[in-house]
Amino acid sequence: MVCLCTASGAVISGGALGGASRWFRRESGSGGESHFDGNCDAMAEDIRTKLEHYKTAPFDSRFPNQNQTRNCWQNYLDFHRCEKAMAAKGADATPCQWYYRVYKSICPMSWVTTWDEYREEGTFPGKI
Amino acid sequence: MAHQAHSYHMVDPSPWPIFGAAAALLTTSGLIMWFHYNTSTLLMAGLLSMLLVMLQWWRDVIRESTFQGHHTPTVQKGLRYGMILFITSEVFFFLGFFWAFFHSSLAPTPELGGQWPPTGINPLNPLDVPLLNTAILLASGVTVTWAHHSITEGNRKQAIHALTLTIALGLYFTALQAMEYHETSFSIADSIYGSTFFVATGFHGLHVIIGSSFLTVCLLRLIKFHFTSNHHFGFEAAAWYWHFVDIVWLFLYMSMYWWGSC
Repeated sequence: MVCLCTASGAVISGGALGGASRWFRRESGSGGESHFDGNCDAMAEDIRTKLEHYKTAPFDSRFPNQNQTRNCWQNYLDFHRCEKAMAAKGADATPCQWYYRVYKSICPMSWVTTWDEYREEGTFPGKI
Repeated sequence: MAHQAHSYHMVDPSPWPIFGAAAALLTTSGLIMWFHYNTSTLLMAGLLSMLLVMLQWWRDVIRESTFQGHHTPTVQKGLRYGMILFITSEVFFFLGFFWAFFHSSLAPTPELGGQWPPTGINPLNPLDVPLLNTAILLASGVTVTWAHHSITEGNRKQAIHALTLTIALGLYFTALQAMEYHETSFSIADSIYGSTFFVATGFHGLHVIIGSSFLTVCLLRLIKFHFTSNHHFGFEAAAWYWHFVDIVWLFLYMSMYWWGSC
């Protein structure tokens, strides 16, 4: 059975997750079609550990400057894309919580409220 | 003294400069009244007076030069500098609008969906009418150069044909662009995309109309034998202006129509 951890590999390329960028990339592991299983479990624990120890959004070299708007926007998008992709595959959406934590940490609440309303109405301008 | 001991033109007193300033005041305040209070009377008065001043001032320049012979080579040199400086100022004018376009399109905000063109905007296909318009203006650049060569070679018939063709191409561009404006699915009010697109292409269109008018005056003067094969600066100035308009279009096409639609 192919591990579904790599399902969203094409959708999200994230530096923010640090270890998670490995998370969504195929690892060379044991041969055979189920060669992701072992790594998947290790990764699952990895992300859970990261989430447990989460304090605040870490430095993301994709957004090195003072204006962090794009950082907030990207993580908001990535969370919802992750949820959508995982739901489509019927997989565990726990890793998506990373993006949730990051955007909750850095986005202004009013932006999140507004964007949530837009998504409700179907007028959200971003691609999810 | 009866004769001047220099080659400059000391112009006779003229009312046009101060009337032109008054016309500018009426026009600018007229724009404000139109924008904010939806009345166009003052604006119409401003534009009318501006038109009358332009017609009469430039009519006087033609009288002083063609009919009275005041435009020595020295005077012509000054006019060349003047036209070049004016066109340079126009370059900076357009530069501002290009700056605005790139500011918004290189880093599109979340409100636009983080993409360019923004979410919901269907841009014009650059390979459609805009490409034809590019070909039209490039061709008109060729025909205006043909007209210039015809003038310097003393070929009256070809000069008239080439200049007429140039003007016709300019009118064709204007008509096509007006049709395009009618056909777009977006308006000037549709986010910063609409603003940058219509303000930049709109001012360009205005300059095409100005350039076409300038060339038309030159055609009338050409027909009436105002130009010699050596002295035809009015035509050269019009040709420079026309080339400038063509180049601005090329930049508009490459940035807004082509790059801005991907």
